[in-house]
Amino acid sequence: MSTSHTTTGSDSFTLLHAKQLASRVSADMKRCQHFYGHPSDDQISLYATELAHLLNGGFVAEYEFGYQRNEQRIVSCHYRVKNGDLAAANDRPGGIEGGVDISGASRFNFLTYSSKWSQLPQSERDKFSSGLPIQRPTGNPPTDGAGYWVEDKVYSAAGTVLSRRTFKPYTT
Amino acid sequence: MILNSAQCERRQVSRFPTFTKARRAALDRRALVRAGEGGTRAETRARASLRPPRACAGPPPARPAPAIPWSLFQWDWLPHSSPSGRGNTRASRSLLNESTSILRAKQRERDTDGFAIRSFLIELIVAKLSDEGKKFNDYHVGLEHFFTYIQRTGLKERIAFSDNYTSAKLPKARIDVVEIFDPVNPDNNVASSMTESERRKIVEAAGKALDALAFAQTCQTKAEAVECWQDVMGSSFNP
Repeated sequence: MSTSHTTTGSDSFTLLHAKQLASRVSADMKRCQHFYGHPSDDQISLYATELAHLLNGGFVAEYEFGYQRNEQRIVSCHYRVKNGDLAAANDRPGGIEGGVDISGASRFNFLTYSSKWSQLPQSERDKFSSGLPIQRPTGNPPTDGAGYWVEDKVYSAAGTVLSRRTFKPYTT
Repeated sequence: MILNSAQCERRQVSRFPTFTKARRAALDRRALVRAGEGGTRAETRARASLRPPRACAGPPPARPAPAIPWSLFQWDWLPHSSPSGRGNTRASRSLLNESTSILRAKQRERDTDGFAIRSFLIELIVAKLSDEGKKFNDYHVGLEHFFTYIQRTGLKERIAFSDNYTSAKLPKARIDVVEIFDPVNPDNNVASSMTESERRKIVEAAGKALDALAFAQTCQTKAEAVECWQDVMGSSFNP
């Protein structure tokens, strides 16, 4: 998989940059693991690898993981991908909401493909997907539960930016 | 004529007649020790130290690659150790001690503001986690256990040990902000001096340490990993 995309005239986004971004997302997953026990290290590695390849191809528009109960978010991290911002900050990952009651909740991990992915012919998409470590069925992400969104981190590499916002439950 | 080293040394001494008798005797004795012919107990020890070192078993075996298929990611930045992967065996007991030492070193480090926790408290928390079956056979994992415990409980859980007294001897009601009881004296809460603001600072610092440890594990360059570890261990950490 040698795809890469150019964000400006001078900076080419490569797999190395994609790995840098994915490593930050996987650090957030690791913090989620500290608090809630999942995902495991093996799963984090697979998710990160998948994300790195998809980011490298420019195929990700949004990415989200967290916990849901009754199809509603309890706690989650959501990332929106934006291209062409070379001046964006590159924060240290972390700061995940801990101590949330997740009894009866289930994990989720959703990925929204970009328009670039939609423009690929089906055969190309199938070929690319078959090389990824995770095979995703289609589905709908949960709706917001009793909580609020906070935009808190920005991760960037070579002009590609992941803006993170976290969903936090209201404290009683 | 071929002289051995003891004879050479004796001959060298005789070339310097200005030496006192006592000094010459001392040099003679040292020469004898070198030749392995006698001496006092201290000299025997000295002779032992002159023996060639024992052959070592060769370089330590290479750590096996993490069993993660299809991975693009380096998951193994310093500092780790993984002697056996088993529970709290003798080897991991020593690593437990080392993990405790690391935490105590961190506690001593001037530039880790906010982490003002006495080293004895660190030892007791690590001992409690070890009693619960948490494994300390890897520095990274051990430190994660420690900081996760602090962040998860907020240091609001009572810590006591049943080796020397029963739990009935402990105070029934909560007596202090943080309760970590002396393993040999149920009347002594060794964390009694800790205030609520100190407790909050420690919990906050533990959260930051976990953030750094998480990124240290997943980051893509050693420089980033070292930077993260310096956040945890202090700026003097330099693997």
